[in-house]
Formats: sequence, C-alpha cells, structure tokens
Amino acid sequence: MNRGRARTTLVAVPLVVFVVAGLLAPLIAPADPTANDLAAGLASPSAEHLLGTDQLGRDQLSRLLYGAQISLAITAAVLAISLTAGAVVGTVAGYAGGWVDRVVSRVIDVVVSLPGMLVALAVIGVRGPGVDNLILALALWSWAPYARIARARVASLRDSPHLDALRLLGAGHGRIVGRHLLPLALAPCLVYASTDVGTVVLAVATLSFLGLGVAPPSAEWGQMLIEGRPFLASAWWLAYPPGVAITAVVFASNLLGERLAAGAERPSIIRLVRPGRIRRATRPAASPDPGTVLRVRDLSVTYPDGSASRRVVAGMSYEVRRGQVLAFVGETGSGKTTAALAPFGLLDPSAAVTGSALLDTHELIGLAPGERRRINGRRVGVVFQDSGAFLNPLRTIGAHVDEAVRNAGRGGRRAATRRVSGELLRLAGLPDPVAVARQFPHQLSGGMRQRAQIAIALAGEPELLVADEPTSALDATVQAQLLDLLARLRDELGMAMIIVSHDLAVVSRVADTVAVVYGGRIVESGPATDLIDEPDHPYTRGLLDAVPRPRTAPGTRFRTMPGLAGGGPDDLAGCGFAPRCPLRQDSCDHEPPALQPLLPATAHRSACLHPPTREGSC
Amino acid sequence: MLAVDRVSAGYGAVGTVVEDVTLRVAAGEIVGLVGESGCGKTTLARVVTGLHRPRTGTVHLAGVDVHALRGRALRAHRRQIQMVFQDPFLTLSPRQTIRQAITEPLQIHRIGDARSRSARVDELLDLVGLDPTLGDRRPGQLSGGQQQRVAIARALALQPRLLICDEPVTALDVSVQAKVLNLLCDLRDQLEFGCLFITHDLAVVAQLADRIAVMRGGRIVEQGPTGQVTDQPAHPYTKTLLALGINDGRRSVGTLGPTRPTYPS
Repeated sequence: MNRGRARTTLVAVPLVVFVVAGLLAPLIAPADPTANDLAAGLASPSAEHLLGTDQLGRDQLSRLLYGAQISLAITAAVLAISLTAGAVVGTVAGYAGGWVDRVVSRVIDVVVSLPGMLVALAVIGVRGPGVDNLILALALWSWAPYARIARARVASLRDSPHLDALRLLGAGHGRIVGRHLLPLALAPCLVYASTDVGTVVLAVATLSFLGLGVAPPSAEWGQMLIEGRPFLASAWWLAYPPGVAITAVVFASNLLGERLAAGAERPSIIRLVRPGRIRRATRPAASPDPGTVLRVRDLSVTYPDGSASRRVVAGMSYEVRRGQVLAFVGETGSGKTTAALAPFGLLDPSAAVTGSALLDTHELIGLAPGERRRINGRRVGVVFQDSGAFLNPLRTIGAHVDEAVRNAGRGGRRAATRRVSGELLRLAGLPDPVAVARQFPHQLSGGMRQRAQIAIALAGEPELLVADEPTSALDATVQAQLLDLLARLRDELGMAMIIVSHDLAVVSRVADTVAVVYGGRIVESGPATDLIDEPDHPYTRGLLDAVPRPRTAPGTRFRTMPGLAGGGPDDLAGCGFAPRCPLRQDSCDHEPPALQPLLPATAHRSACLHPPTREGSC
Repeated sequence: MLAVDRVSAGYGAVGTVVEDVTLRVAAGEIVGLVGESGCGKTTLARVVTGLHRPRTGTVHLAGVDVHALRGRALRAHRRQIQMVFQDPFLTLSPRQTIRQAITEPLQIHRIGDARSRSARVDELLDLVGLDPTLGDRRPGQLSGGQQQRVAIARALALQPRLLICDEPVTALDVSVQAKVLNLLCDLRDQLEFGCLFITHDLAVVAQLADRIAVMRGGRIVEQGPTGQVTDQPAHPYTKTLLALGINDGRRSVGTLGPTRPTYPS
C-alpha cells in the first residue's frame, strides 16, 4: 500500500511541476517572454539563456514557463466548466430518471460520439480564434463524459435505501441532490479529470499549433512548437523543450488517472489469481493418519502494517477427516476466514503464511503458483460468500461450469463437457440443469447462485470443499436448504469440508467438529454436539447466549457479552478474551491459556484458565 | 395507531407484490413481519412509509391517511414514520460525520438552533449507547453495529410514532445482533413508539415481538400474538420456519428442501 502511494506521488510530480511553474512563472522566469533581442537571436543554451533563444532573441526558458501558465489557465478553466456542468447535468438526470434521464442520456451519447477536435474547429471557425473561444470550444465537448460518469453513479443510487432514508427524514430534492448526491458523483469525476488534464493540454497545444488557439506573440507550447519547426535541424532547443513538456504532462496525467481509478476500486478477484507470499515450513510434519484429508499445524498469518507487521492468525492447528465437516465460528475480524483460506494461497499477496498444511501427504505451504493450480480447483474446491461478485455477469452459468470442468482436466469434447456440467448442476440441487445453464447470474436467486458456485467448486471432484460464509446473505429457509445440501454432499461423496460462519446456530446444523475462533486463536474446539450442549469457554457460552431462543416471553432481553470484538493474537500478554470475560481473574491478564482437552483422551478442548464448569468441581 | 387496510401494491412490469394486507401496530408495540426475500415485505414497508403508492387500500397513521397527503404536508407528516434499513453503511452518507448525519433531520425540519441541536445529538448518541467522541468520525470508521446505532439515532431524532426496521440486524455478527435488538427493546420501552420489525428470521421476532405476522407470496398467511404463533402455528409455512431454529442447542439436520442431490453414476 505504501509503495503504491509512493508510486502515485512519483507519477504526479510532472503535474505538480507544471502547476507550480504556471503559477509562479512571473516570479521565476529569468526574462520577459515577449522581449525581442534580435542581436541574440537563435543563441544555443548557455548560462545566460538556459534553453537558448529563438529567432527573435526571446528567452526560451521564460517562454516555456509562461507557456505553462497559459496552458494551466486554459486547462483549469475548461475543466472547471466541464466538470461542474457535467456533474450537475448528470446528477440531475440520474436522480430524476424517466424522460429527463432518457433525453439527457441521448444528448450525452451524441456529444461523446462527436469528434472533439472537429467541434472545436467548427466553434473557432464561427467565432474566430482567441483564448475565450478556445475555452468555450473545448468545454463544449469535454463536459459529456463527466455527465455520463455522474449519471451512472447517481442512477445506481436512485432506488437505494440511502435516498429512501433521506426522504423519510423530510429532505427535499434540492438537499438530496446538492448535499448528498453531487458530492458522491464528484469523486469519480475528479478521478476522470486527472486524466483529462492531459487531453485538454494536448488539445490546446494542437489548436495553437494549427494557428487557431492562442495568438502570437503570447508564449504557448503549441505555438512554440510551430515556431520552432522550421529550425528543427539547426536549433533543436526551440521545438524540443515544449514537445517534452507536453508529452510529460499528458503522460503524467494519464498515469495518475489510472492509478487513482485503480486505488478507488481494487477487485477482490485478485485473491484468486495471485498466490500469497509464503515461507516454507520449517520442518515437515509426521506422517498423517489415513482418514485425515487436511492436517494443519502451527499456522500463522502475518500482514504488513505500515513499517511493522501484524499477526492475525497465531499458531492454529486443525484437521479435517474424510466425510466430516469442520466449522470455524467467530466474529468479524476474528481471523476465521484467514485461517481457513491460508493453506490454499487465497489470501492477499502481502500475507506471510508460516506453519505446515498437509493435504494427504502434500505440503501446501510454500507451493509455487503452478503447483497450486494442480491443487486448487481439482483437489480442493472453494465457495465464497458473495456469489454475485464471484460469477461473471456477462457469462451464463453453463459457461462458468464448463470452464471449471475444463480447468479440472475433465473436459473433452464439447458434448462431454456439457454432460459433466449438467450432472454437477444437478448434484448441487438445481432441478433443471439445462435451463439453469442457459441463464445469467442475475436471473437466478441468491440461493440458486450459491448452488451454481457449489457446482463449480465440485467440478474437480475435490476431496475437500472450503466454504466461506456460504449462507450468510440468504433467507433462513434457503440457508437451511443449502446446509442440508452440503450435509448430503459430505455423506454421499464422502467429502471433507470446512465451513466458515459467524453463526454457531447455523453451522450446528451440519458441523461434525466446531472450532471457535477469537482474536486469531482457536479458543475451543470439539465435536459439535459436545460443544453446543456443554460449552466450556466463556466466549462460546456468550455466542450461544446471543442466539434467540424459542418460547421466551416477548421483550425478554438477549444475553450479551460486554465490549467489542477485535484485537489480534499478540495484542495482550494473557488471554485475548480477558477484557470482555465475566469470569476474568488476575492470572488471565498475564498467562496465555493453552488449548487443552477437557478430560484426558477427549476431543473437546478449550483454552481457558478458569472455565466455569471445571472451577466448581475443584 | 398504524392501520393498514386491504393494501395491494406492485410495480409496473413486475405486477402485484403485496396483496390484500391488513395490519395494525399499536403505540409501544413491536410487531414482527416475517417472510423470505421477495415475499413483498419491503414493498409493504415502503407503502406504509408513503414512499410507494398502493394500488388499492389505505394506510392511516394516527388517523391521517398517509397517501392523501402531498408536498409540504406529506413531508411534515413523514416525521412520524422513520425507518432503519438492513445495511446502515448504505443509508449513511460516507462523507458526513456521525454528528452531521444525526443533525441533518433537525436542520431539515428547522428544529432548534445550533446549540440545542448539538445538545440533542449528544442526547441521541447517549440514548443508543454510543460515546459522544465518536460523533466526529465518519461511517466507514465505525463497526457495523455502531453504524446501525447511528442509523437508529438518526431515525429517532424526529421522535417518530412508528419505527420500521427492515432486517436491521441481518448484516451483523450474532453477538452484535443481540445488543442491537436489546437496544431496540429498551428504546421502545422508554419512548413508546410502535415498531414494525421486518425479518426473515422467525427466531429473532419470537423473542422480540408482541405480535407476529407471517407473510408469503405477498399475503399475510398468519397473524397473532407471539406465543400463539410460535406454540400453535396454524399455517404449514409457519411450521416450516419454526423448524429452522437452533432447537435449544440440539443438532437438527432436517429433511427440508424440495431438492435431493444424487450421486452421478
């Protein structure tokens, strides 16, 4: 992130130089840009004239600086006019909708499709050259993209709860547009404007070069170019500096615009294509027992945080057996998703992963991207929470599944691939695979899209399915159906599964084993029935208490835990949950609790120094 | 206090989404409206607030026909119905500070001067359990639960008689859900507004609401006091919804769902 910001700053340097030179030209220019000195004509660069002089003996450096001033003034004027007009027109059209929107949109389409330079030539042809006509000519065609951007931004909000909430508060149209929508529309417009600086500077120079812009003797870069052209061979210092200046400003503006736009929206899909920076495990683990599909030991994940680094998962160990579901349960930011995805290289590229993760006998930590491709999608399938973001809106469900089948090496002839895809969709519980395959993601309900994602994940006949909050955004009934589907896939295909969820009640439907995660560590784990019937850790008890229960009197308060979740595994010396724990004792602040079996030889383990169940019996 | 009578509503191309709905909410009462997405519950909420016009039927709040009002009178009347939405981040302006967001309704209705507004914002922040120092932050700097508290504070700034909550805790962690629900209960006891609580999760309203209305396919299929609906559900759909709860901690892999996957041969 920091390196990215440094690069953005670097890219902006030519633009800053351009603006400063323009503003300070009268102060820093060594000479009057229009003062002739015929005796010193066409002098090459020297200490007196750093960039030489032109045929009339005018100081080229001064002309370049004053040229920046003129370009800057014209560009600022054009951008101010077109940005304001465009943003206002677009915002109003997007907010009004209906025929206003249709008419304005068509006008925008027409203006955008006109060749800008021709429009400018026509305007100047009618009104004659000059600075004000130049600004008018450029603004007349450069407002349209801003209007289009603003309109798109606002139209997407037209029916949103944001505006409903404001209307309910009594806000009128003026307030909604002026206070709320216009500022939102301005942000992407400003990003576009940074690119547009280059376009306008180039257009001004071009028109001046053609003799239609700024008239001589004013120093203007395009004007300087045309004046230097006859002397290209004999006096290079006349044409090169303005040429370089124009090129630098245009390039810098384009790069800056691109960087700002990229910073505004960084696609999350990047996690899928780029593997994390991963260190090799220090020592290989002992040979696993044959029923274990994935065996993770001492997994830690560290992210850079400014100049320091921050651990988000600390020394986690877990394993999943064939035909079993392991559920990671915890609050937002607890590290549960990170712990589940880290073995498969699905984290942000800046994550450093240590420890060991054996898939059968294959070590996954430290795999090269090429080796990873033979595992992900084939031996391991992944289902994400947001199926809308996962699926490409422009491709049919069938195309997605076909691609997954081919990637898994199970394709063949088209008909064979199709047949496998159809089977997968049926396996995922979609009743009419042929019809569903022809549909686009937006034509399906959230539950059906999630089933399509499951079909894609099953394409490689994986041994292990990892599902990150697979049902969180869905209705209760749909959630239950999807979980039942996962349970059947586990039973009938003998698959191992990891399900990540914030809702202990939801996963209790399918999980065989539950691991409760708090502050980057597992605080309690064990068979689902034991853990839910006899929770040991105070945090697990808190989570279960927060779940609404049937047959309580209306208005009964939910039992809650004090404080907020948060904090990493290394923030506190002792137990991470101590600050929120109702049973905290002094030793909790100093001594980190280890995850220990509740009884000798049980799988139910808990990391608590003073658990309520055991304290009483001592 | 709120009387919805035989309301049907829909959208041009989509057709009818809400059909013949009759519903009452008394002052100080929480009514849970349960149904899955697409059943018309959000459209019904928009009709009740006056944001969407019904095809037939009427909505009266405190004896005033909400849809007979126009312009200034409508806007003045809207003070009495406020709404809390599912995703607080989408309803708050990212550029406004918390303080500005809560002050805005007071400015719109010209209530008080700068000083009294500021005092009222402090009071509201305190009411929803937020530290006043958070007032200078922007929504992006708050957690989901805190954002929802801000949305509730803003909705309560105008002292509404009716608060509509549309899936207000669905986007939150379970442990945070419980806190926000408790807050709503406390505020209702304290301020005695009526509350229409919309959700897909019957378990939540079973503990929260005084009465429950179950909606399916645009119609209310069952309506009654909470105890009656949860103990003796009359409609099969209500029974299905009830079977989805945690069942006092016991595991339950039910036999729900119309589809059964089979292993491909």
